[in-house]
Amino acid sequence: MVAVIRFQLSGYIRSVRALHPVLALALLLAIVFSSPLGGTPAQVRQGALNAVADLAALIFPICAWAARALLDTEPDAQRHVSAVTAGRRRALVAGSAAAYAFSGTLALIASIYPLARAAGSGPKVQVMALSVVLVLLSALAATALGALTSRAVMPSPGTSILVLLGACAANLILGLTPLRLLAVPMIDWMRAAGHGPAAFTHAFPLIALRTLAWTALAGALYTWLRRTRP
Amino acid sequence: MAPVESGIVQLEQVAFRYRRRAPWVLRDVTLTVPRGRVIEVNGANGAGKSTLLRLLAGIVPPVSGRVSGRPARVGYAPERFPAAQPFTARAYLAHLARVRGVPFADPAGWAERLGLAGSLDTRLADLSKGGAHKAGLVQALLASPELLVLDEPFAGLDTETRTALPALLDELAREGASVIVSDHQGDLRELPGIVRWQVAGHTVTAGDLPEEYTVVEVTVRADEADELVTRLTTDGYRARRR
Repeated sequence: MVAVIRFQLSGYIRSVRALHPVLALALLLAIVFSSPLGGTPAQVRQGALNAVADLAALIFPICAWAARALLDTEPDAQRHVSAVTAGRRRALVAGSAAAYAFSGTLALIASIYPLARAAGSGPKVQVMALSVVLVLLSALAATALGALTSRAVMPSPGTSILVLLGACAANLILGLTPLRLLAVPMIDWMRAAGHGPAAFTHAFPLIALRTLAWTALAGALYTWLRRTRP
Repeated sequence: MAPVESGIVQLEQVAFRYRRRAPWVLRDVTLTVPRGRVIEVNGANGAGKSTLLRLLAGIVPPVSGRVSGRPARVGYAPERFPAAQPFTARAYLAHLARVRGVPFADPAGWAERLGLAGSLDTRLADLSKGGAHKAGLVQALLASPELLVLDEPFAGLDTETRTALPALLDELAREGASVIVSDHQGDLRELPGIVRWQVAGHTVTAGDLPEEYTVVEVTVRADEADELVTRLTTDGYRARRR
């Protein structure tokens, strides 16, 4: 399993494709954190929390794109060879694991700067930890969406890009409607963060559960679709 | 040629199509892959040869029917090797050897025997078509497969490798492997004891050429070839243009 994951990650990182999400993330961090988080320590803590919540939402399309690109780096014929070499199930799980690992790493890198800023202002450890987990959960959900739009499932690049971007937009729009339970709760976590650390901590378990459920359902759908899509 | 002991992979009433409501590629395919034999799969373009090989290799599951008995070690080389990968041939083969759990030291000399040894440090994308195809064949041969599935392995190979490959496949079969090869260029024609499968009409007909039959080669002007094939077919012979 580890050898298959290494092969997938190695192919992706050696290709120029891996630079795209890294550059997009660098740009995003520069924009989100270009202005001061606040004046007083309390304002900095609140500013950092707001920024991380925004970051968790904004990183979603980047991680989805990265996961799609990672899985698509392997040409179709190589995917067939890998399925024979490693076994279909193992190759499928390893591909997903490689995508989750890359997105997770992006999420952790994205969390470093705001947490470092907040750390200098006497942060609450629990809120900091939950912020990191939130970015990570967003990255995982995004990875599941990226996998669903990968070439093995959607052979047409035009369709897959449309579905990926459409799903990102639909997530935000659904979050504002009564159907928000169907979406990754981005709007909910940004609102909770805006109401302060106490409200964020209180709302976090349900937000995490909904995000995990969304990830699990999307992951299960991907696995089911891949049964007949080699 | 080793005697036929038993079959390894069995296909029972297998049917396959790529999408729901798409036309069937294969239907009612029931056959057994004999152990220790080279099997040549023939058929017209689009008849379903590659699909049959993918079913046998385990890349796609049948839509209906059953494929059973596939051994643990299967080697597969696609018709077109995916050269658009950011590795040298050596790094690529080392990765796949690790996936198989064997060290890549080319112990059986596959790279040497297939004429790839001098290109191992070339990037896959920079290899010639034949060179890339050889990399695909070498990866399929790693870890001594019990079932070896090769889709058009002779395409793009230089004359030397093309001549050497049938003997190499025969050697693997003598050691007990089942070797399934799709080939419409007749490179395996001279191999003794070869089993032939014909893919046509959405199904597969298995069987050696009967003893009372043989193959006659006729050299003819290119512009007369199609006419001759038509005439021979009309006369009841099985004829095709190479």
